[in-house]
Amino acid sequence: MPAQIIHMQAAEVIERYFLENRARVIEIAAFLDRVGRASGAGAEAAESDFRLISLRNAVGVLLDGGGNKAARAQLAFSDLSTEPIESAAGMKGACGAWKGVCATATGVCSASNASCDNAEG
Amino acid sequence: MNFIDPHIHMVSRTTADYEAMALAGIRTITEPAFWAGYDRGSAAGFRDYFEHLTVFEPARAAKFGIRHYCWICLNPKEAEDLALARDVLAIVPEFLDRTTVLGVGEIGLNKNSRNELAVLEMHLQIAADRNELVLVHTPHLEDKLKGTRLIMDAVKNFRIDPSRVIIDHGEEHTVGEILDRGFWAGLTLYPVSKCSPARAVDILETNGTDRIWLNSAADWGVSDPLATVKAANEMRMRGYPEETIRKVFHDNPAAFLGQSPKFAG
Repeated sequence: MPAQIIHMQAAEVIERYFLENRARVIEIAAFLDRVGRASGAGAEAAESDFRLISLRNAVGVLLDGGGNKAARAQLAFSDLSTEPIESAAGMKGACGAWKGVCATATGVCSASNASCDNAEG
Repeated sequence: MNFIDPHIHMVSRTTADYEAMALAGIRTITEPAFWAGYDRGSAAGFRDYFEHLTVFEPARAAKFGIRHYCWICLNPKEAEDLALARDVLAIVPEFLDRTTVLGVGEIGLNKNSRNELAVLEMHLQIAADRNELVLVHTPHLEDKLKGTRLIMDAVKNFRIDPSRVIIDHGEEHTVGEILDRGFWAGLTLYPVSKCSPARAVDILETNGTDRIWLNSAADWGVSDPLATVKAANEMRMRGYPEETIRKVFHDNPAAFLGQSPKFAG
């Protein structure tokens, strides 16, 4: 790995980037509240949705004491299998999280109702 | 400073975008062949698209003093239909011979399926046979890490020099491996699904500025044809010297693209 490039002091980084990241944390909190408030069919299953499980795993990376957080947060959402899938027929987009996380999650995990519509070029 | 945006899909953008890009200092662009948002029904549809890329767009760009180059292929989102892929691959060499076509791209994987991998290998065979530059699309989001590794293994199997291959859409969890294996790495400045300018500059800070380019990949989605200029400004705000900014947004892409004798800056 090359020597890291550093042009700013830590205080400058906080000064420049704190507010936008404060806002992001509150957006995540509000999103989780929104899911919690939702009622009707599927409300309970939503709590065990593979995307929320991955999100919580990624948030855990933010709170642990380790470095390299962006790359490790990416891994929390990533497909960690190694073999090609048999067919991509009817599949274009990505969900943003790997359904396979259900195989490693504790308790019940819901993966059947995802609409993966992120399919830009 | 003259910018190069080495990955942008101008067929999806307006002429006003060309004007804005020229005013912002973007003087050279390269446009990989990609997915239109729907599956084309025949090889004839691709022939029309390749004509558009090699005739209409260079002329439209030139009106604003922008040099337009392109890359030709069948993109991975339409690679599940092997019969269609074979028909399209049959016309690809004809277009690779055109004067503004720099190589094969953007090839790669989308959902990491066996057919996608087979079509990727068909393209790599053409690139190896013709000694073409290769521009690689890596999958989105959760599929990126696995797809990037499958793609790099496939390129290695064809004994293509990795210094002639750009693995694009790299992010924090893939760029290190891409560079370690001798490839060029592309960082894409794209809202929500790829890098923000701040994250892209973070990746430069942790991986260095050698063998890396930044691009907008602006297309028909919510995207920004001025993203490269905004990322350069992010570097400037952090205190980078102008020569480093020039290296990232001009000299690096010029060095990679200059491996093609057709590229004139």
